[in-house]
Amino acid sequence: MKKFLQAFALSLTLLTASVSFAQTSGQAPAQTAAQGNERPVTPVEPGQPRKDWSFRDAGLIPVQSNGRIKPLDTFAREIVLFETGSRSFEGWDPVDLIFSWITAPREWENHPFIQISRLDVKRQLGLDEKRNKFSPKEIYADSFLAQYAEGLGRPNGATQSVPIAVTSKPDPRDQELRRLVERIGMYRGLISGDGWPVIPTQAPAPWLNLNSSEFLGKFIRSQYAVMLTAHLTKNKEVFDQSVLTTRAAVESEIPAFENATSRMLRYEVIYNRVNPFLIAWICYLIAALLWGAVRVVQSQRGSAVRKFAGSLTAFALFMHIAGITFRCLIAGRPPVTNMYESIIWVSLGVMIFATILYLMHRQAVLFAVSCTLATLGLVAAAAAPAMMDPGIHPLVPVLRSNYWLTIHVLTITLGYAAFALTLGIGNVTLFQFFKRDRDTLAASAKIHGLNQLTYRAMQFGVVLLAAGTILGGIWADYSWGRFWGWDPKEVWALIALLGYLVVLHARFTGWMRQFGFAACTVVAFVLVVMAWYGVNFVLGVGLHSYGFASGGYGWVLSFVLGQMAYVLAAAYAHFRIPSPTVAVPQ
Amino acid sequence: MPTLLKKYFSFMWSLKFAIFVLLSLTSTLIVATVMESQYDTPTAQYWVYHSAWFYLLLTLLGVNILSVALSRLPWKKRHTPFLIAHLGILTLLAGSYFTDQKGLDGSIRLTEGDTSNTVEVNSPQLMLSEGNKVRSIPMEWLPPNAEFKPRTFEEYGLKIDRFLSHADAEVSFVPANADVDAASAQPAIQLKLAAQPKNAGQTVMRISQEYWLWAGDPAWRSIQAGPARLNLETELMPFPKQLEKAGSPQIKFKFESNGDLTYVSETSEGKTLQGRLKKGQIVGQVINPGWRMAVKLTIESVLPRAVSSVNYKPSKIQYGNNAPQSAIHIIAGQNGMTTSGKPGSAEIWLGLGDRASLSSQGRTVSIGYFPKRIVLPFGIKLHRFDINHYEGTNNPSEFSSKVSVVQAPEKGGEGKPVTISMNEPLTQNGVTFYQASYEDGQPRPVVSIFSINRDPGRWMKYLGSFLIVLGTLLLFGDKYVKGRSARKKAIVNGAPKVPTFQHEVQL
Repeated sequence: MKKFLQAFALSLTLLTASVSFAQTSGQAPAQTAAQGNERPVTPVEPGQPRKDWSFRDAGLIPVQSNGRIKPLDTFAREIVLFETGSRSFEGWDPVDLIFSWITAPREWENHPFIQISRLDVKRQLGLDEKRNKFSPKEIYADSFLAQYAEGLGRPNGATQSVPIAVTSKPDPRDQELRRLVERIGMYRGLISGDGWPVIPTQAPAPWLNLNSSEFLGKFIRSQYAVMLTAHLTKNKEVFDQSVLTTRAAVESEIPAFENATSRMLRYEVIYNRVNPFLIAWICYLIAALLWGAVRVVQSQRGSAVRKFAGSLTAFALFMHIAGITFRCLIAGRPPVTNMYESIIWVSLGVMIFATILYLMHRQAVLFAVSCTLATLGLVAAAAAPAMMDPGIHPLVPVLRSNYWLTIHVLTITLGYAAFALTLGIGNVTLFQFFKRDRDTLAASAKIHGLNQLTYRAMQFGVVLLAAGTILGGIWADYSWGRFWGWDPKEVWALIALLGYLVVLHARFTGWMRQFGFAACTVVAFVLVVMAWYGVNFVLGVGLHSYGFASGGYGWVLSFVLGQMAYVLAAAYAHFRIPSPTVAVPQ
Repeated sequence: MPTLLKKYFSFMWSLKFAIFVLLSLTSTLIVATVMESQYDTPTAQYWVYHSAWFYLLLTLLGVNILSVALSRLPWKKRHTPFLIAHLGILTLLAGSYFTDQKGLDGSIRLTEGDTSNTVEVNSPQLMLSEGNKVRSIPMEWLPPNAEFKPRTFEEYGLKIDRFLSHADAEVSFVPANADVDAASAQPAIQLKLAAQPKNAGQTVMRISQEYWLWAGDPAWRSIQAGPARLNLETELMPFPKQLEKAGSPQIKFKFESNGDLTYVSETSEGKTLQGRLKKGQIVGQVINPGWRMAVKLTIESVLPRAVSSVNYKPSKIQYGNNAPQSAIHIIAGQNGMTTSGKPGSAEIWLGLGDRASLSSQGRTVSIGYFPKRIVLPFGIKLHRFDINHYEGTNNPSEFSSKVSVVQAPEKGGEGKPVTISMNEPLTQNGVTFYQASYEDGQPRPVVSIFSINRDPGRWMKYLGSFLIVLGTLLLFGDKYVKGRSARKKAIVNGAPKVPTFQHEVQL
């Protein structure tokens, strides 16, 4: 398989190289690519990524977008994600893709790449309901959208940057239409040159774009023209050279450009290209399977499988922590300001608690469960970029440089992590009730051991959630002058806390036996889901969002319902089906 | 201990009751958040968070916790963590109650250069003033579906009979009384504009809209009705000869001195149409101004001497941030006080911020319906409001206000300027000023909004919080340290022969 891939890559390289040679030799390179609307004499095949090119250096060119200076790599990634709805489009490097958009817009005109996922929007626009991606031409031609865009009154004109999260939450269909108008606007900006904020100015003024005619950016514009022309004509050598000169030109124009800034840009490109969370979850997944095997075959301490699983977990954890560290360095703040960041942070929290408990109890099940949860968390974060924006954006004023906020959010999300671990172990515990030998002494002891672990994790969770909620009060008091205002987010944190307190008290009274405790653990996590996700995504949107279940909503609902069904099934197995062995009185 | 009391306590400190209270509280809160999401915050606050029964529920929780703590008497050393945690909850609850009763939570809106000592609180009040005597009566804001109990003020002969949670002002024109002077009583006409836009010969829709034109106010003399402009002029206030701008449909009405109504209409093609309606035959006449979309204007009513009258009606928007302010309806005149000063009765609508005066035989009472205001013993002056944006965007990154405290002259007058920014409040005489928000403006915003807070229960809440966290940590940590060695044996691979089910620590 590997050999085949190598051979394929080689043949492709040769092919592209020959094509680019043919083109560069046959064509004048002095084409003004930045104009974008001049059709080259020999039409370049669209949809052909420059596979053997490196866009690493091009990605390092600074641009200004969304309120900060960022590498072109990030800029391109955000745009590609916004336009196409996925992180990578048909194997294109994002930088390659946006260069191709501006240099060969006509070839892209009929290529479907603009995402429309909502069925009601496609229906309203009279588009093919089976497809999720549409070409610019199809969308330009849509008269309804044209009217709609006019109705919006051109709120921001040609959008030159990826919009930061929408603050108000109107009708989701309307939101999608707005986003579509923005997508089209941004694409138009890109192919016209307006959407390229590449020429530095004194902060906080917006940078000039490729279309500006001021003297200030003349040199950078000409450098970009050379670079884009080389890209269009597939002249790799000229391209690589012009990338370096362009980068140097832009960097020299940035006021107060320091080594630190340059280092941050490099970090960001490394973070983008290495994708540490991808590596982390793949390792977690394998580790989870190994830990499961360790548990099933009762592998003893010091066995090879255990050692390998342990080192794989450690490596995954390292990548996970490295990813978060990079993110913190780039953003200059703690990593819990949006859903994407918090889900990654909570996944790490699950691993931390599992490690602590493992060091105490040496139970393989802890890592089997936590690696599974971490995998799920990281996959969910990676799979739904539309719902969870992976971009690093500046914060609103109230969230900035706030000691209490940082402490509060980190604490409360660590609480969620501890509860996620209880959920995982609770599910494993419930599984024991399906087994044939569930009523033997040994099984009962096993369940008891699992419940002890759950209880331990729940203690962590309760302390952290209580402390985090209170710290939230302190932050609110410090920032807004009120300790507690019955805000839905506050209230749901309290509801989750009360729910777990009920579980702990009921366990204390002895109302809950082994099954009850495990079942309640799983059910109580629904409260955490509501506090964490529901307040922001369900309550925040308002009632009619139920009808237009978006991706995130459907997934979370199925998760919750699936868990409920599992608990009910376990309850049925436990209470209804007589055990084949002799029952032990509890 | 008497048996009854014993029974009472054994119920109150039972965990059953505790769990019952916790579950009721949890489900109540769930309902409240859903209500808040479906309607809005004030509605949820009225029905749940600020309602008497919710306080009762919290009190029950407090009583239960207290009873549980007392039930462990005489306390032993091992009870310490449990007592700390539960005492913490009680302190926190008490602190919250204290804040609720004695605290201040309002806002001040300041323009650069201005000084203010008046805090606006988010609840309405009725101000009745007669001469130097001012009475302020707190009013409770009610959500749209709550029942309003009419209130009567005998000494003023007033009755508040209606309350609208969110009201839209509706201006109409009524015939003026004979004693209203000529400058205030101006002619008014009510028009109905009907149109039928057509697309390829088909009527697409029918439009019908009513408009008032009134000569008493420039804003009412010229009204935009879709693409068309409606104007009214009188002998005293003629329009310039040339109508506003050529090329757009417009019509000009004029009351002649003999009472006739003349009109001049101009179409978008530049054609002019004229007409005259005889006095007494004006109402009900249909005018064809010659505009596109088959527009017809019907004269619904004519008032030669009209005054404006404001009515409030329930707004279409009843929930959320866009819902307008509340309004009250007052019936006056039960002891002879009317708006006109003549004997009789009167009805007045007052929107939040409105004021009206009633008079009779030398007695004048002014009624105001205002947000509640609290006057501080010192003022605050806004010198400058500053805002920074993230580079290249309009998204604010931080904003701050330079203010100074202004005391009475004998106490030192104006103090040194201080900067209040997000998370950097200013405290003076126990009152804290927070930078809350600002009003956007061109070329830069100059209006800063502060939230003002005094919280006498704060220390209790902080103490309670500390105790809760400390107690919980001790509770769990204690168990862990004590039970560790025993449990370790039980959990390590290879199960023990007999599982242990007893709880680790018995309180």
